[in-house]
Amino acid sequence: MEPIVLRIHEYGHSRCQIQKFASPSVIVGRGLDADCLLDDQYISPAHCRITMEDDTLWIEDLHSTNGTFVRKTAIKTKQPIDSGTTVRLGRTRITIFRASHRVPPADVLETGFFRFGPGRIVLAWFMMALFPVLSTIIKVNQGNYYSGFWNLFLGSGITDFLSLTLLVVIWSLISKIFTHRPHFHSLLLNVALFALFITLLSDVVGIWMYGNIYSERVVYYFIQLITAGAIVILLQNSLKVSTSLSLSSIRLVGLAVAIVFCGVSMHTDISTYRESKYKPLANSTILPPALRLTPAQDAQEFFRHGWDDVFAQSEALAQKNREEKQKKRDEAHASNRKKEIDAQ
Amino acid sequence: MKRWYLPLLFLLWCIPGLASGTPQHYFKIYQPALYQVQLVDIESNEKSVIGSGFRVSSDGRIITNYHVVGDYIFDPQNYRIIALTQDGLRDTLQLINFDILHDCAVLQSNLKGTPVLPLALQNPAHGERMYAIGNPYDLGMTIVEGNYNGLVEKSFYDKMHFSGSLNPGMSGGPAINQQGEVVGINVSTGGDQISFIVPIRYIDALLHEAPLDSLTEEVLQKRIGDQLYANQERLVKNLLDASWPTADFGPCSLPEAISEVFSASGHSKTDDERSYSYHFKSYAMNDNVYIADGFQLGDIEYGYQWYEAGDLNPSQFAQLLTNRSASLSLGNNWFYLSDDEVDTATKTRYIRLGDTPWKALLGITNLVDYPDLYKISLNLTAVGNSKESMIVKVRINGVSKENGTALLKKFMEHIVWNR
Repeated sequence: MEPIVLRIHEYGHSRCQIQKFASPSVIVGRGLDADCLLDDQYISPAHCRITMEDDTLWIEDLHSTNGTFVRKTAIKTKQPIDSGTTVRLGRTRITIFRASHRVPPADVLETGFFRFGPGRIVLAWFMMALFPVLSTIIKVNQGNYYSGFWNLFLGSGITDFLSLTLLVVIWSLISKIFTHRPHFHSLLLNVALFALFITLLSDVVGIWMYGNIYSERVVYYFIQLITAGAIVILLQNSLKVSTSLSLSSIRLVGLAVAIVFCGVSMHTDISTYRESKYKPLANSTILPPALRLTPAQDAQEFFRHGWDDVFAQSEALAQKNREEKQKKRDEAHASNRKKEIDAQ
Repeated sequence: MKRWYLPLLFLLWCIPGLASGTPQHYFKIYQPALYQVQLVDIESNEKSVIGSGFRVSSDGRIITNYHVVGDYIFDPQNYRIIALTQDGLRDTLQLINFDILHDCAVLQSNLKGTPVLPLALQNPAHGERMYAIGNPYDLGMTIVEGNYNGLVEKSFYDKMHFSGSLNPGMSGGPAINQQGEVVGINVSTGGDQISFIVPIRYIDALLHEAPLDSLTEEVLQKRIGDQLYANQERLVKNLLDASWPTADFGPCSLPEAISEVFSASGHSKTDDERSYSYHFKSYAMNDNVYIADGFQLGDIEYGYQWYEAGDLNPSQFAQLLTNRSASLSLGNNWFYLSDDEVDTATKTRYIRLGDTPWKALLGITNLVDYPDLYKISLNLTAVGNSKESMIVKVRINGVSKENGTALLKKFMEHIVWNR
């Protein structure tokens, strides 16, 4: 009989272990009498049985609590599998091979400074250093008329650098933590990306609808996003995780969550713009008139309709103050009376 | 033959202190009718404000300034008004009436009898000698000589220009002419030898008006509110009836001083480092109505800020204008709301004046104690041009809704963008 080879990838471990079994039947489980003993609390004492019968690999679930999964489907009955199939039990992944399994020869590795080597890390850090310089240039040219390049660079460029570093660290941590959950990982990344995207969008809408000059923030976020993404992709080799944005059902769910979440945040943003006492001036010289959602209204029209509610609003504010004043006066009155009574 | 009595007349003229009809004489005989008026804080029993006052009738009516007794009017429970005679007698006074616009008040004392100071029937002639009497810095009754220089022309509120020096504590004292008649009451000083006196006709009117029903805070505040309301009606009517001269300032044609009671000031600056330049011009009424410490109403101010972008790109220029137009005040505190702006309702809209777009920021505060009156501010910023812009700020302090709207409307009709 041909031996069975198991490549076991335990949760939280970055390396796999290989076990070879000469007997035609292997019981995988957490119990001490299992042939392949695994340390995973989500695995039953005798979880599943892998057998080699008539030169075919079979797998059979032994009524485990959490089931045995082959390509995301829990197996119900004993079924044949191909050599090289990965099954999931609990949080552990096992790839099952027959000893004669042949793997294709390796691809030829193209070496080079940037393709594989220290160049990627150098490039990533270079981009991170470039980011505050770029963001400072943008800020100086967009709006910040009062500060020069070096002032702003020392003032906020350093902070930008630190915030970008934090972004990369968080992104990498997410990747590390969810090594085993590529779908969940990619969902998180998608949520984060869409959240950023929609934040940008809400700023753009804010500019159009309420004449805010926040265009520099749009460009700024955009550059920050692209830089962070590029750095992560550059570091991807060491992260061993895919950051591709192809759509699958689970990513669509992520998109939906992101849209709902950001819709709320966008609504808040816009109402903040609307209620802000410091509405910045419309950047009318930058936006073409067709894009301005608040066309200038006739002054007389403004007098006719626009003013009464401001008067009403001011009256409501004054009324509130009047009531507070009256309350204070009543309290003072009461305490005076009490003093008089005490004196008597 | 008759030439012998001329030297005698000359001798008599040389010893004025003895002759009747000289100010020294009146100062002496009026002494019992001149008082120091004190505002005493009941809790500490110490004086918080001192001024002067004088008796105008034998039943004990005393005249002083509104601003001497103003704290009492705002807080009648915590203050007492006291009159102190030259002999050191004290008497508690009762408020009968006051005129906040012309800063005078009538009080009732128990100090009855004569003498009383007679009121003059007409204003003195220009250049006529007159004398202000009062108790400066609690130093004792003092008489100050000066000349009457007519009514202050550039003031909306009638005031006599007296070229003598009034000092703190003399407020509320009488100003008499050479016949010993009261022509006005001392009110304020404009610095060296320039002082202001309230014409006596306002006191006369106040004496003939019905006294206050009671001295509760509500009644007192209502009286202030009524006087302020009548005042703004008169002020705004004057301004609406007048024709407003306009002049070019940078890219705009804008109203100049809209009445003679406004005066202008201006300055320009080019920022070398930031390369843009600006020119300011502002107009303010020369007077306002003092209501309480730090609280004045009844004035209007407006200003223009013309900015040239210089080397600033459109985005930087827009940011500059945003910062400069954010505050409702005319001053330099662009970024933060002052305390009274916190209770201000605001609205921003883009409007068209003629063919040019402007950003309008309207701020309205309804006064807590005077519900019919509002403080209204309007900031207009020209947004059609990325090379130069104009910020127009108008503040109307204490005006009714209708008058405020009408005034701003007229103002906006006079703004024209020329380029």
